[in-house]
Amino acid sequence: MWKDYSKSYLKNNRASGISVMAAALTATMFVSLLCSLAYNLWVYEVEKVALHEGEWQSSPANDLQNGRVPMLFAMYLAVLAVVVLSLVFIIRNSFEVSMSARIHQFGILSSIGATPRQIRVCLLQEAAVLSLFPMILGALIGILISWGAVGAENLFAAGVAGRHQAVFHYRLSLFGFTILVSAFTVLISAWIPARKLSRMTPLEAIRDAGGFQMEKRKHSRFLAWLFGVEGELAGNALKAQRKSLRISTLSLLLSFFGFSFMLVLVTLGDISTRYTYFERYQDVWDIMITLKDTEITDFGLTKELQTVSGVSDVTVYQKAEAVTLLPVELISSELSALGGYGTVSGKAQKAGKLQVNAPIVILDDDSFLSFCSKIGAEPSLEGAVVLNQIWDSVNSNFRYPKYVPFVKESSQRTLFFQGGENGNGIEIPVLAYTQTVPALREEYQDYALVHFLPLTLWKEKAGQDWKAEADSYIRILAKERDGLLQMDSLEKEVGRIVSSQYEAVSENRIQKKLANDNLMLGMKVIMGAFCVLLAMIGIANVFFNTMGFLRQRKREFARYLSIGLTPSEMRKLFCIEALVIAGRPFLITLPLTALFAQFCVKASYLEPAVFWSEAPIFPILLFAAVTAGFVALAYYIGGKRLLQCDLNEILRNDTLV
Amino acid sequence: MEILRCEGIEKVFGKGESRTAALRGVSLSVEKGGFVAIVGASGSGKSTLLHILGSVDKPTKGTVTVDGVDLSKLDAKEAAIFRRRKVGLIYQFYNLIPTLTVEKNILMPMLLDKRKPDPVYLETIVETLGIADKLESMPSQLSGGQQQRVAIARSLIYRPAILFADEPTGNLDRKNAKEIIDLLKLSNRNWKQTILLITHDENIALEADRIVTIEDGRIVGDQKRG
Repeated sequence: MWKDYSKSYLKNNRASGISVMAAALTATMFVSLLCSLAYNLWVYEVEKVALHEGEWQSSPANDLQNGRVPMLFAMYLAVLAVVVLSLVFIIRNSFEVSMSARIHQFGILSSIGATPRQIRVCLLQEAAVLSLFPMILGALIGILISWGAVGAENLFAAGVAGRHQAVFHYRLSLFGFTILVSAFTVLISAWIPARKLSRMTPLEAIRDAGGFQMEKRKHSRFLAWLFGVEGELAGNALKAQRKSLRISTLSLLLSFFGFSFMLVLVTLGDISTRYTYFERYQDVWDIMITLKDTEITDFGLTKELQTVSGVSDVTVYQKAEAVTLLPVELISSELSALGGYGTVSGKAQKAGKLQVNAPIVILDDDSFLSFCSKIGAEPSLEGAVVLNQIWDSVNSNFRYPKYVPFVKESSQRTLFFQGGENGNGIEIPVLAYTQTVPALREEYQDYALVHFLPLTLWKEKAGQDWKAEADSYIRILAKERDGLLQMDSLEKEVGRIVSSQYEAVSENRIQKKLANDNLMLGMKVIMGAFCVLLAMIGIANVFFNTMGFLRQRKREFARYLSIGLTPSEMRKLFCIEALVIAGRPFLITLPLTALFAQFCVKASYLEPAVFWSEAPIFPILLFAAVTAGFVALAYYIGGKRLLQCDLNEILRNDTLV
Repeated sequence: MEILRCEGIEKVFGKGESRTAALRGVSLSVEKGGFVAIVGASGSGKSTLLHILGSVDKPTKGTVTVDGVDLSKLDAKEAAIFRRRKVGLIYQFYNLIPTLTVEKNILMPMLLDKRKPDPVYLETIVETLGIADKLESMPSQLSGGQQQRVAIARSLIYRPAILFADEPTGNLDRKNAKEIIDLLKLSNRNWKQTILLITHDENIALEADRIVTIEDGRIVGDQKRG
């Protein structure tokens, strides 16, 4: 009997069936996409670790085997749980709309002896039948999108030097897991309204007591003031249906939040990278070569590189960590005036001597001599040049830093230590103090006393006990600085020379900028696609919800018509409702997004004008317009149907709701 | 003075095999200030006739004139405004707007016209109908009898040319049903309100001063009383 009943209902109510199917498809697609992406990310991490470390010591797989869930994996599980929960809330509505349309019928069935369990099982069976095919299709679409996302990631990150290429992975058990999670999501979504419906008494169901009522007096003063009596009617109707609209409003709100926040962050990241990286280092490098596990003392191609046609300048350098003990009386008067080293750096300051970082940058001899000349010091390979500056964190921010001299320029020597002040120290003569840095693509520590040393001096002083960082670097400036082709060919040429004897990774400024642009674009596209997907769920939900909302209110609209509301006044009513449904999430989100953006701009010490001139206003407005368009479309279709339906039939027949 | 006239009304629902003739050439005339009851069995076509007379529906054939207005010439907008100003409709299930207070429900036809109601007339109606203390309530807070009184008040607020009541007591107990009929008679007597009442209850029909019997879409009896 139930089978025939369900069959006949589904046959005659295709719209409600389609809405349920669409909800199941979207939910499964989203779950499948997340599962597949999480799996691929995990596999990629495993591969990367294996490639990097050559073994599986700290791989996610090992962590999992040892009972330690990696943070990334745990995070994805948490995200999956949140998404499943959100989807339950979102698609529940489609089921609720479809089921509520039959409250009266279930009341009749209940009155002739159908048990709540029978009604519940009937509804769940219907949900299962309707959702089976969309679930499989949704899972496949999710896999397809995930495959596309991995491909897109590879495409956008193609220019990133030394990146491990991602390969799409999938397995049957994952598909099973996806279907299981989706089935759980769909059935829970169907079970919530089914339970509610099966618990209604026959009388309540026949009278449709769960319908549209308002117990308390409400006023929609603003809408009434703005649009007159239609405004009041629309406002009150929306208030009465607040509960059923809450989910669609929430999903739209979340997707809009996600979308606009992501755009704000991407724009900020874009500006920040440009300011702190490309624009700051625009003139200090064209080609960078990282010599893997190579001591600068072992590198012997500097002269050869200097003779390569197209090369204007070559600097080979290596960095080393060290500390020095600084007598307090050596602190500059400017730094003392700011409150001393402790105030500026925020580090605890002992009485007497300060232990400060004194990073060493070892330059090839020619470059060091040329640097000496540039700063007006007498060229010599007998000592170091000290970068005598410290960031004035009291009067400036990291984005637009100001510097003051670190020490009084009276000391003739610096005593370095490695591995603490009790280690073996080396004393280096100071040739000069400067506020100018050599042309290197380096960012120096904020509260450190950087020393530039010639290679010869390093060889002489460092000996066996002192260790520099593992890699050395070659910085090349080209004669032709603007053409990508010339830059690529020069990079290839110097790369060929260096790679013949050393393991090296090279990059060039223009290519890196393009790769970065591509990465940013890729990130925008992938994140954008993610947000669009989120938005689509929100919009689809609003669309179906609005359609269902209108379907449920046939009787209410018939009442309006019967007391003399004209079709144009009805249309005005629909417009007001659509405006409120679509407008509310934006009215809430836009100021919050603006506040969030303002907060981020402040936190990253950017000039507000710089951000606002590039603020993603157009895509946000476009998203708002598309959403409003879909709500309007739902109202247009639903409203048209309502205005065409048989008024007296609805008014006469109490059972038709 | 004639307030309503319909001639040769036919109404057909459906097409082909499911074609059903609900009204088959109904002609009727009602004088101003009259209280007419239309009686008939379920499915006889009386509600269809009322909806056509009240401009809620259009006839397949025939003409209807209410207070000098030919309803067949009205478009959807004009018909709505006509319903708002010229007719009052009372249904078995009240059809109040659940989101508005009783007062707003009563005043709705006037509010739609952006007109201010006459406070004295409003007070007279609500006092007469016994709902003066319910004006700030919501419909869901009222009993069935009280909701029907609100529906009557709403239908009277615009002083319509004619009041159509479709089984107004069908959902009420005997006591409330009698009170509602008494109120309709009162409005007929006090305000010379023309009333066309549809009922299948012969006892209620006997309260009217004219009984029109409809059967199978045709008028089969027209009896003037008192």
